[in-house]
Amino acid sequence: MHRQLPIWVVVGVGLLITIEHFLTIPTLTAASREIQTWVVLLSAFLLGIGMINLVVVSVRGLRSKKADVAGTVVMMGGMLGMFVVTAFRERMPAAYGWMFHSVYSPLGVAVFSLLMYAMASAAFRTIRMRSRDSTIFLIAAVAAMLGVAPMGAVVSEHIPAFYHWLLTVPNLAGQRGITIAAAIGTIAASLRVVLGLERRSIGME
Amino acid sequence: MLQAGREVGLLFIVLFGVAAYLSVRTMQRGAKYPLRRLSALEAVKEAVGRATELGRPVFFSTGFGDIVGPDGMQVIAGLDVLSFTSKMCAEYNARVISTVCRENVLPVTEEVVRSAYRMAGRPDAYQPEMVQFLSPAQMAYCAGSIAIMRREKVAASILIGPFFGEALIMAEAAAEIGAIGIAGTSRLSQLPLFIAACDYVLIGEEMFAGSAYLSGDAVSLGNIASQDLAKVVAVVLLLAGSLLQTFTIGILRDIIRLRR
Repeated sequence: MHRQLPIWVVVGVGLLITIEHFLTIPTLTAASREIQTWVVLLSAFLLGIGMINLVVVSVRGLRSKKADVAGTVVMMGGMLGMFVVTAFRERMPAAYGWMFHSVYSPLGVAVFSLLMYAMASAAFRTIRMRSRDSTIFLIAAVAAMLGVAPMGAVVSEHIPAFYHWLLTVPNLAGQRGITIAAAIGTIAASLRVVLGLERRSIGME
Repeated sequence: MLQAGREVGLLFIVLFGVAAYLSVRTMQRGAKYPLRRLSALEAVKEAVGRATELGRPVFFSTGFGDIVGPDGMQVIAGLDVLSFTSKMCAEYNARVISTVCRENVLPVTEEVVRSAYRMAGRPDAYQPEMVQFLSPAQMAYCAGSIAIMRREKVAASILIGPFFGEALIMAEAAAEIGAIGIAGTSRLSQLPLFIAACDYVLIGEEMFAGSAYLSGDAVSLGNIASQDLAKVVAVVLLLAGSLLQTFTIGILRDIIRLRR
């Protein structure tokens, strides 16, 4: 019975939200809004579970001597420090501001800046493959670069026009095809969940 | 009673539901439905085999998207593949490491991996390290995942779900350490990046076929059959709409115009 309960909860909530989307029934609308506010509460509770998971995995890593001690201490200290400072941010706004603007944000931006290197590296590997696909990729990339850069129009007036055509015809057609098929796939998968047929993704065969 | 502008949507959902039900019933009676070969999903088996041979783990991520919200179905599609991957890892005695960035995804992921080990007959082999919550902050999650990939020298990286800015950084980190890269997403902005950086990619709707392809069960196959039928209807509507619009006849456009 306890294994079936999650399925019935999913079916009940799923049907309620779906019906409420299409029909105007005040009681259903109120129930749907109420349920959707519970998500915030559940998320807050689950964030605590997440922190416990992080602590458990870190402590087990230290015990088995697999984890880097300094890294784990910094991570745990950072997590607890940020938690305390955020929880009492009205009492210590300067500390909160410093943690957020001088530590958290720059670190995030530093990791994000890796994207440029990753992009160049991935593009280089793709072009180096020397396959039909990589040739098409190369032509599209060169056309895009020349199409956007002022140099393209200087070389030939057809280059920006070719880039525009590439962007608005084959590229857009492909994107729309993928979008429509993905939307149908999403609806099919949603129906499977709402009707209680999807069990593997909630840990049931 | 009916919400204005949502009539056609409701009709589509009802028809789709009926088609799905009939397809599932047909498959349950033993009918066959051919699925085209998806090399990315075939590669999952190869990835687990390679991980077993090398004695290294398989890395799995469902991305930055949340199970609550518009990206939820992509997360569930990713979890379907994770279930299969974990079960195979349990059978072959390979390790799987799945990192999570959304608190709502964590308990579901834990349950999926734990159940997979139970189904494989090895519940005792499940370890808490197999599902790690890193951070709800995108780049902190990305940095943590990359650190795990490098530290554990993962044999394969499977990234299936709604990915955002972290997609290429994670895929490229896996490629750098020589891991097999398998990815899948329906997010158009990240698809080209995955195609450039990974060995195998599930494009758009292909990721939703994972469950049927890997398990071959009647429900999933029936679902795929109804999905294909819906695609045929979509193509017919596209062609009819284009034709009618060419002759400035807007009847079809007026009927199916979707309003919020």
